[in-house]
Formats: sequence, C-alpha cells, structure tokens
Amino acid sequence: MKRTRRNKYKSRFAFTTGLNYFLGILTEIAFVLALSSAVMLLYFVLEKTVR
Amino acid sequence: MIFAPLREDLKLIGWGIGHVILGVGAIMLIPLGVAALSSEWNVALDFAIGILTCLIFSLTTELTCHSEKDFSWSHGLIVAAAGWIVAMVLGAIPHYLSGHFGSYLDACFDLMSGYTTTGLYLLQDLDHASNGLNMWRHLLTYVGGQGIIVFTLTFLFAGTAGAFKIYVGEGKEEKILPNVIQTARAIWIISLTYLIVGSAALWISLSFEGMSPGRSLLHSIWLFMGAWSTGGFAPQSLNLLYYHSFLVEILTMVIFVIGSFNFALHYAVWQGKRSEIVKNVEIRSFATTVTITALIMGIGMQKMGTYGNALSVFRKGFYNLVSAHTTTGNNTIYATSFIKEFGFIAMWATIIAMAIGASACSTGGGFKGFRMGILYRSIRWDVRRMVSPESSVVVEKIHHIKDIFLDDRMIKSAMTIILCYVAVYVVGGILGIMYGYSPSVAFFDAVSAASNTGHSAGLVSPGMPVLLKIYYIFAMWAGRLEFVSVFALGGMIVSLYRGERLKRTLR
Amino acid sequence: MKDTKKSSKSILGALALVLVAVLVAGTLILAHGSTCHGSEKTRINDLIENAKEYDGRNVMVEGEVVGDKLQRGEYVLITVNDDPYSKQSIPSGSKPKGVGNIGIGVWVPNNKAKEISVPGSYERQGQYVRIEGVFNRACAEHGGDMDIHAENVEILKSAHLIRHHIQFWKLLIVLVLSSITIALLLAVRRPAKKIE
Repeated sequence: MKRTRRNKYKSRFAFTTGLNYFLGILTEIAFVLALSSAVMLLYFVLEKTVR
Repeated sequence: MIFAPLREDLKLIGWGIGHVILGVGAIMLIPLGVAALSSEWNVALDFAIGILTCLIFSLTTELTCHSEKDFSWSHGLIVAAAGWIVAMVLGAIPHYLSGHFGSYLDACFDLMSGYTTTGLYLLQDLDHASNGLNMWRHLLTYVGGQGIIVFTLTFLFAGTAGAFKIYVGEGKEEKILPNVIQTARAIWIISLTYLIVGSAALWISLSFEGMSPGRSLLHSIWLFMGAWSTGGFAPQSLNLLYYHSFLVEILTMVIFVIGSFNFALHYAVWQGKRSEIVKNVEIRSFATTVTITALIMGIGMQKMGTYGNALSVFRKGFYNLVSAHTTTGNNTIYATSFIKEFGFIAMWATIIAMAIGASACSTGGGFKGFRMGILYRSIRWDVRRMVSPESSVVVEKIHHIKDIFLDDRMIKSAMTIILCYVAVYVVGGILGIMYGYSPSVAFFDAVSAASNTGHSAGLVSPGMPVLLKIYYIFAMWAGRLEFVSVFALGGMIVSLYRGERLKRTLR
Repeated sequence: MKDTKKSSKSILGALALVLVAVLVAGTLILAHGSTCHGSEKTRINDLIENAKEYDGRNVMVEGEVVGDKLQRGEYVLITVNDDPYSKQSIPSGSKPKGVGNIGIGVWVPNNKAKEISVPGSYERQGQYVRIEGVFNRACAEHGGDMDIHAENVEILKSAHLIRHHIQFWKLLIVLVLSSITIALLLAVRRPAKKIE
C-alpha cells in the first residue's frame, strides 16, 4: 500500500519535471524566434522610413 | 614575496591533469567506434594510438604524483589551465596522424579551436575527411563547450571537496546547485536533452533537403554539436553554405542562440521560472547589443547593396551576425565575402558583436552579457548618484536568477576581465597588421580567435605565419578560461624559478 | 657559278616561306585549340574574389563533385571543388598542400544531372566535371547564396574508389603502446580512479 502510493508520487513528480523541461525548451525556442523576427522587423521598418 | 610551489603541490597538479587526460582518452572512444563502424581502419588505429597515449600519461601521473592533499584555489586554477594545454597536445595525435595537417602545430591549433569552441581550422581537404575524424572534431567542440573539466567532474572525480576549485578554473563560476558534481551533471543533462531534440530536428530537415538518411544522421549530430557548443565546425568546407537551406539555417540559428545562454538560466527556465528569460540581465544585454549591431550592419549592407531582398539580408546578414554575437562562427558566406560583400561598416559591426560575445557560464566566449550588464548598470549608478542628494543612499541591482546588488568589487572584476579581452584583441590585431594584413582583416580574425567565435575574413589559413598561429592558440585558450587561470599558471611558473623556497626550513 | 648561287638563294627563300607558313599555321591551330579547350575556364577562387565582376556572367569551371547530390525540386544541388585535392585527395595519398578546399554550389537542372552519380568523400575521388552556367554573386532565387546555375554539365573523369591499405606502422605503434599500458597498469595495481 505504502509502496504504491510512493510510486504514484514518484510518477507524478517525473511527469511535472518532464512537462517543465518541455515547456522550458519551448520557451527558449519561442524567445529566439521572437527576438530575431523583432530585430528583422525593426530593420525593415527603419529601411523603409529612414533614408 | 612569493613562495615557490612545494613538491607536493606539483604532484597534486600533475595528478589532476592526469585525470583530465583520462577524460580526453575516454572521449576518443566514440570516434574510435564511429571509425570502426564506417570500416575506416586506419582512422581507428589513429584513435587507438591517441587513447593509449592518454592512458599512459594518466597512469604515469597516478604512479608518480599520488598525493593525499586536496585542491586549494590555486591548484584548481592551474590544473584547469595546464590541463587544457596537455589535452591539446595529446588530443592532436589522431588529428596529425590523419595526414590532413601540414604540421603538428596546425593539429594543435585545431584542437585548441575545438576545445575552446572557436571553430577556426587549419585542417586541409576537409571535404575528403573520414567520419571518424569528423566525429572527433565535433565531439571535442561539444565536450569543450560544456568544459572538459565539467566532463571529468561528471564522470571521473568521485566528489572531492576541491573539485569546485577546478570547475571555477575553467571559466564557470555559476553554482547552479549546491554541489559541484550535481552542477556538472545538470549541465550535462541540459546539453544531452538538447542534443537529442536538436539532432532529431536537423535530421528530419536534412532528409527533407535531399540527403540520404545515413549521412544526414551523421551531419545532423555534427551540425548540432558545432552549433550548440557555439563552436561553428561543420563537416564540409563550405560550412553552412554547403546546405543552401533556409530550414537548416533557421534550426542551427535557434540552436546556437540557445546554446549561448547561461546554464543557470536554462536550469531556472526548466525548473518552471519561465519569466526569467525576459528578466535576465544577460538576455536583456544580448537583445540590446544584437539589435544595435544588426542595425549598424543594416546600414553597411544598404551602402554595399549586395543583398537585395529581405530573405538574403536575413540569411546572409543577420544569420552571420547572430553567429558572431553568440561566438559560434557558423557561416553562410565565404571568408573574403566579409570584406567584399559586407563592406567596412558591416564587417566592423560583426567585429563588435564578436567582441561582446555570449553569456557567462555558457559555451560561448567574448566579454559576456553579464559583464556588459554590469558595465551599463555601473554607469547608470554613477549618473544616479550624481543627480541624487548627497545624503541619499543609491543602490543599483542586476537581475540574474535573483536580484544582485551591485558593488565596487563586482564592477572592478568585470572591468579587469573586459580590459584583458581588449588587450588580447588589440595585440592580435596589431600582430596581424605587422604581418601585412589589412587592419580590418587582422582585427576581424584576432577578435574572432580571442572571443572564441570562428568567423574568418581570410587570415586564418594553413599558410599563415607560425607566430600568429601560436598567438591565436594562446588567445583562444586565455579567452576561453577568462584569464584568471592563465594568470595563476603564469604566476606558478614564475614562482618556480623566483619564489622563496620554504620546503626545508618549515617541514 | 652565278646560277648555283641564284638557285641556292631561291631554295633558301622557299624554305623560309615554308617555315613562316608552318609557324603561322601552328600558332593558329594552337590558338584555336586553346579557345576550344579551356581558355574560358575560371578558377572558383577568382569567382569568389571578384564576384562583382563575374556577377550574372556565363562562366565555365572544372572540378570534382564532393559531398552529396541533393535533390531540390527541379534542380539537383552539387558542390564542385577545384582545389589541389580535386585531382588527388589526401586519403588517396596526396600530401597537404598548404591550402583548404575551394568549392562552390552548383544548381543543375534535373535533366542535365542524370550522369552525375557519386560525389567525392573519404571513400572515393568524385567525378571530375566541367560546368558551364551563370554565376551569381548573391542569387536572389536562392536566398543570396553565391552559386552557379548550370546550363551544361560534362563528365571529364569518372569517380573511383580509394583503396585504404592498413598502415602497419600504426598497428606496430598500437602494439608497443599497449604493452607499455599493461606494464603500467600492473605497476599501479590499485584501481586508477580511486580518489575519495
């Protein structure tokens, strides 16, 4: 009884860790893409306006 | 007065280096396996010779340098600095035996470039290089990115109290977790997870771009290792230009930008503190400087007018700039294109980006975003103090995982390191000019080496002067270790000859 | 006496005429021959160094196909190298020549690429080809890449496998080093990584 409960907690812990890792990776990728698009957008806006 | 190191100190250092070299030999098992699987028997023999030499070195130190003492701070720094040199010399054995190098010095150059995640190379006829050799090149840059010391800490040191002191010697001060071995393991978990994710994504895209499954698997692993470690090696001589693929360029760009982040930041984000990615001082510094240098580059590119449409500006301009800023060195243009197609302004924007570099405690080089953050805040602090009433207490803080109050000691140490980088950049640039290279080219390659980037404007080639090769090896090494360990090693060597000998009198 | 002088003079004159004719014909043939075979051949390095001048022009390069043959829609993408290793690579016995590889990406239309088969690598020396096509300094169609759009491809030399004979001196070194290692291991006796 005791053991199964511990296993349950263990697997729940593994799940949250895995989810956090996954979301962490997604956050980092999203950030890089957002930053590069922002810089490129700024570049084109300036290119069109400042001449 | 300085004291000469005792025999015990030297023994301890030798023993530490022996362990680092054991690690190098262990890493060589992987390219040995790849060579054997590809039926490249001569290459496999090269690695067998390399492994056995490392083993003999390590066993000899075990025999002669066994010591009961634990590491002090100076031991740790010296083991890190000298360990890298010995690892370079012994790691160059398979390189040299492959026949792709003009001299042993050239092979050492490539080794140091790999360990320090620089990416400059003197290897000749890369397009005919074996799978085993390519595996070794990329693997050593991958392991070098995490740190050879971190590698040996993870797998070889069974947890000595002094281990942290060697770890710091390698230019990583971050204590991600209270225990150094756990910290080293955390770094490896992050890197290996990304290795799987990144290689898989690259594998799919390379297959999509027409490569056979076997070759695309190898290429995806190598490209990942080169990009993630901000090394910039690639298995073909045209580097990323070889693939002519937007998809592969986007993927590698994402990989090397993420690879240039601080491991402490990765850890925080992965633990659920996701907002850290917009609050962190290094990320803010990176975003600011990348925007500024990209706009300067844009002005330069407008003047040159080589790249007409939006896609070209992104793939040629922005890609190479970000590659420079993260100190990666993956490129989609030829070396001379930096002069001929980028022009003066865009070229110097790239030099500035390389000089600033990536995050601290990452795989990257350069001043580091953390120090740029401190520099900016310290100026702001001074201005705020000037305009505040005399009796008021003005504090300034930076956010890196937690809020840190700025103090004069932090500012001083950041300034010292930045100054050291500038000095190494300038000396390299002047040396290049003295050898007759144009100033832009000389500074471009000197900054690239000392900031561990790997872009080249054409100076670095097998035919470059020997003195420049040696200086570049030094610049890569000192830049990667952030000078402190190098000073410690230099200090020890000086004290060996000039220090007071205490041994007989005190013991 | 006078007659013989006269006749020898005329013979000399005739000889001179023949000589001149031969020389002229020779130079003409040679000149013609060279225009047929490679006077327009450009080194890839020249293209890279003087991209602005060559931009949009028809060029001819010769070199070894290396790496991969990548299928991209209606084109096949290959890389052509014309450095010293394109004739004999280091794995096939060339000494390092003090230069790296010099190559360029070539887009070949599918119908012209059928004969291109195995590119060069560690295992083989690739096909040696002659490419005629348009050079682009920053190809607008392909994201600003410097490349050549081939119009004509000719195989000059076929690919061949490189035979890698086992280098026995390396095997000998391995044996010597192994015995030293075993001796040292016996000398150390205790396990090498005991640190606590």
